[in-house]
Amino acid sequence: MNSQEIWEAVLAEIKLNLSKANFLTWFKDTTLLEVKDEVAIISVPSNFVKEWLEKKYHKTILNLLNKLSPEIKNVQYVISSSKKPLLKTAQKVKTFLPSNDQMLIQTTINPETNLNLKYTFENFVVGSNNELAHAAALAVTENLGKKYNPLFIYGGVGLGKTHLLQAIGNKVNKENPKAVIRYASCEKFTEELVEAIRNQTMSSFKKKFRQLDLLLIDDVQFLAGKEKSQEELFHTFNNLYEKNKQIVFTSDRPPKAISSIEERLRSRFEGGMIADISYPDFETRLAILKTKTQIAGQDINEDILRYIAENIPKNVRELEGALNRIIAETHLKQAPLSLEETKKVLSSLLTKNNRYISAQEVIKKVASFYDLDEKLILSHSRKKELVKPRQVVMYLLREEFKYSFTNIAEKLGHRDHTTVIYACQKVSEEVGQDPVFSQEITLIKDLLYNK
Amino acid sequence: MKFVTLLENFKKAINLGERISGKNFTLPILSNLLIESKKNKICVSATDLEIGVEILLTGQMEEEKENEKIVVPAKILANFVNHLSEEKVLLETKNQNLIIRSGKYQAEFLTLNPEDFPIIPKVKTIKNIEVNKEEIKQSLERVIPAISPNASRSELTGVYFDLNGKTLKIVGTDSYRLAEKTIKLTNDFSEKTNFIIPFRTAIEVSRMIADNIEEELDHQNLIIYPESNQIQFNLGNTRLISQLINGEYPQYEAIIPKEFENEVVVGKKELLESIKIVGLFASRVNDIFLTLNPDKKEINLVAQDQTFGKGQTSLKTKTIQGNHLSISFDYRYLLDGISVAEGDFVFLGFNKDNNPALIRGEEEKDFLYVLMPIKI
Repeated sequence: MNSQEIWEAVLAEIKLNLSKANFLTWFKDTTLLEVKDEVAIISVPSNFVKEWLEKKYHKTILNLLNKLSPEIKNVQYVISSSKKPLLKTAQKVKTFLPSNDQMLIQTTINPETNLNLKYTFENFVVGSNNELAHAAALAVTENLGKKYNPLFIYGGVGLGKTHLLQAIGNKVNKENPKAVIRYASCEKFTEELVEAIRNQTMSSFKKKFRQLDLLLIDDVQFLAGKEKSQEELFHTFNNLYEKNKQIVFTSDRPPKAISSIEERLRSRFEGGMIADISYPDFETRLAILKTKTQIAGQDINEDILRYIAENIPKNVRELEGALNRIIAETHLKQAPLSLEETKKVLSSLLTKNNRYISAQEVIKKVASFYDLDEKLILSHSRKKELVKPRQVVMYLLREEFKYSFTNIAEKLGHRDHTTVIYACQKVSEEVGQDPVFSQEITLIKDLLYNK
Repeated sequence: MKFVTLLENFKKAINLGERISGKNFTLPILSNLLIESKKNKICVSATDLEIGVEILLTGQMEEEKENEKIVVPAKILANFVNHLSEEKVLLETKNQNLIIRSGKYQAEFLTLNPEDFPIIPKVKTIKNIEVNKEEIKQSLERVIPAISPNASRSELTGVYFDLNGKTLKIVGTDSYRLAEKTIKLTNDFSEKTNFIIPFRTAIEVSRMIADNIEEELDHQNLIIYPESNQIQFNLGNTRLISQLINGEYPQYEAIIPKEFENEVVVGKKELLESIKIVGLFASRVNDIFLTLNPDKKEINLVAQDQTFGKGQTSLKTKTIQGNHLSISFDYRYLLDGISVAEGDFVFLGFNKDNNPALIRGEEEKDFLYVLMPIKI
């Protein structure tokens, strides 16, 4: 028996004679370090525990140890987390750096570029959903300002736009530390602009943005309606573009679908390369989970990963959230979770997506979105403004809620089921072709799920 | 046991014990106090297994059984004695229960088995540090506001004690600001050492000094016994022992600015008031914008939020040197720093608008508060 086994046997014995609370309080985090000169050395987490074991359980522990390993004649307790010795030599870790950052202590955010170092190409998982965007982003880093300028990446929430954007910045920064890079979210850009106007420092603001080699703007859809920001971005863009400096934008929708944005800016977004990131397929999701478990240094059963990947179909961020939760649970339990336990842990995350939504509710939401009366949708009128919403309802019921065609026909005022089949086909075709329409559908879905 | 003591002292002991006693813990006995008879005195103990405290109370022992121990629920006992208002209180044990009488009230508390009550460790070292109790209390109170007890780095959740011969530096930081106070020891320790005491321990030590039980002897000094992983504070008849935080405190000296491009001395009260009022208009990031105007001998303060408006003021300085400078701070951090500076005037030292600033009382040599600006 090695010392670990001996100690486990002792603990098992003690456990029988103690209440669970007592056992956990006094014996948690204790270990048998070694047996030296007939003395067993037990490491304990604190002085309180040391004192208690010495006074209360010393005999029991010694007897049990002696029974299992007769050479042990005495027991000593030491505090495990033993801090550095009282009189220590000055051997300091250099963490307290004065930096330009707001923190006294450095973080992973580079203050000059605003880039977060954790986003790299190496930890970006490529799948069929994002390979175009990934390839374009890589190409940009290799031919800065020459190949795809501007690069416009769009895709839904939590699919990795920001990751790609920052990865571009980090790679360029690594390969060419002299390049002047700046990452700004759209909000930050606007905020700085407002600040500059307020403090009358427009010239320094302009200078700051116009001496860049690489400008990365995140979430440009938020520029909608902010005219002065649009104008300033437009001028900044032109200035950089003329000098062949690289610009990369991201947005949650294609340029065409961003409402209230000036035409001249829109056309500039479209002037370079547009790449989309769509929802990851099952294999990609699984690959993402595997990469993340590797980074976290955790070993998690493949079945569990599969279960997560199957049940969280869209958002990568949610995928990570679910995984983190599993990892946390595992730490807490100090044993791998079974599939059943995983289901229990994740049930609260998943039920949100599976909330029951009735056909009535769908009709109501679609009607309110298009500003129509519910009754008109159910009517048999063939007015164009009614036909489209009606088809959208059918499409949603079919695609999102898996109603049968006949059932849908029934629910929508006793139609023929072939009408429904036609409607679903037509809508899904149009979603593929018309980004504006696709945007509408996304908005309606948002309305439905985020009540 | 039958014991009579002053209610005022008993209250203080029970309340200190109640604060230390464990809450929401798996071991229910931790939410109790241990009361022991000890040769004409009683000893009240409490612990949550991180901090432990023992308070000796003198009084009149009318009947004593050698080393009698009882364990009573802390919360209800504290609530009961806090409502009493007589001069004296009588404690009596009867059939394993504790009876407390004071004036027209009587309470009988059920007790738990005293053998289950944790033993509060003792320090073994004889080496100790002595400091004036009022001085250390004030120092802790001035340093604590700079600490965030929820910081992710555990070493930053505590108060750093850095001993160097005859001086003790007490430091707190949450990585955005840092406060350092230097005090003189009243004895000679003549060694170098340092340790980090947990946030809660620091608070309890300063409260323990505030609520100290007055005995015939007036204890002016707090005696500190540091060990490698625990620390004990003795004040008169009270003993508080605590775990230390493991870890290396960041090397913070380098961030303290030594020279300043801009130096300002301004009335403390006036400055605090201005920041409070203008700060009402600070945006989500709590930023307030300071402009130093040496030509007019003024500081201007502006805060603005896009949704509700703008507030501004300017105030005359006592002295101002340097150039025109504009710099932003989190106004709450600024308030924290200025309000713990001593004296009627505060000194503010600035360099560039992205370098840390220093705040202290105009005449102060042993205190400083360093604050990072908010970068625009």
